[in-house]
Amino acid sequence: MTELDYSKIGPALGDQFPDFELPDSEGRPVSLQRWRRGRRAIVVFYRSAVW
Amino acid sequence: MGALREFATAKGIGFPLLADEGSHVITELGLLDRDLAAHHAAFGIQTRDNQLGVAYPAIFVLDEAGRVVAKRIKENYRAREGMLKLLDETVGVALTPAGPQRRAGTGRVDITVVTDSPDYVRWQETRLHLIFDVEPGWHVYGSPVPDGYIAVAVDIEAIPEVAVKRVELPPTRPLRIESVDEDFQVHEGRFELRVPFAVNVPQGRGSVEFKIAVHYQACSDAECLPPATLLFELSLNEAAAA
Repeated sequence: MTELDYSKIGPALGDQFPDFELPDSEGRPVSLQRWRRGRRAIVVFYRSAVW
Repeated sequence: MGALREFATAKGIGFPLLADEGSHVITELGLLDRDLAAHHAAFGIQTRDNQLGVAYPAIFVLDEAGRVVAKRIKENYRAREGMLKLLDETVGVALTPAGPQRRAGTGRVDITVVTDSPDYVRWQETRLHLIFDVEPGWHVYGSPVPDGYIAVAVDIEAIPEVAVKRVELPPTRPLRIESVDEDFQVHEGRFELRVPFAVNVPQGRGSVEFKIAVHYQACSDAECLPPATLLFELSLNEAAAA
């Protein structure tokens, strides 16, 4: 397995994180920028809530 | 959607959990994990088709303007970071460690040992803190240390599945002691050592014990005490699965 350069994957340090909108667990649309409202945030990518 | 709602309730999660069905956002962000099968194979795991849309196990910390100030991408989903460690290292927010505290001292030096949490989450990187309080007028040594003196050192004994990383020391300050005509690098007052570690055990292992030995030598301008070793024992419970 080759070593990946993870720094090149996804938004880079210093970049504006792109806005996106996805449904939450109640089916309501959530936009990252509107939800943040100018606060600091942590965006975590997880595999699954089931497996 | 039902699965996310159940998960949020079961784990007491108050922040939004979003579903990226079809992995469109994941792909647009460049985070689609194209190495999943290879990573799984390294763990001896067969990859199922329904797993192929996952993102790399990534965490992004954004500032008030929405810019990426920190980025962590691990090689596998198991190795994540505890929140105290992540917040401290990325945005300098230092929450109080919540683990069991152990305290010992030898008069001029008091040491408190505490972990970020009383529990361990399997594979999660977390920290052990060693907080030194050195009496004013006294100091202990950092490296390099001249012959005949000992520098602060920490030994940690635990089962092999506890992966311990290098001890992080704060900077020393130079000190010249005229009476012995030597230059030293010293730590004084209150300072903290940190040791990142992870408990990489299978589920159900239960509590994990740590034996910690801290070595140092306290000196003043006028005298040196003999080298000292303080021993600490603490135990972390396996975090309860919800």
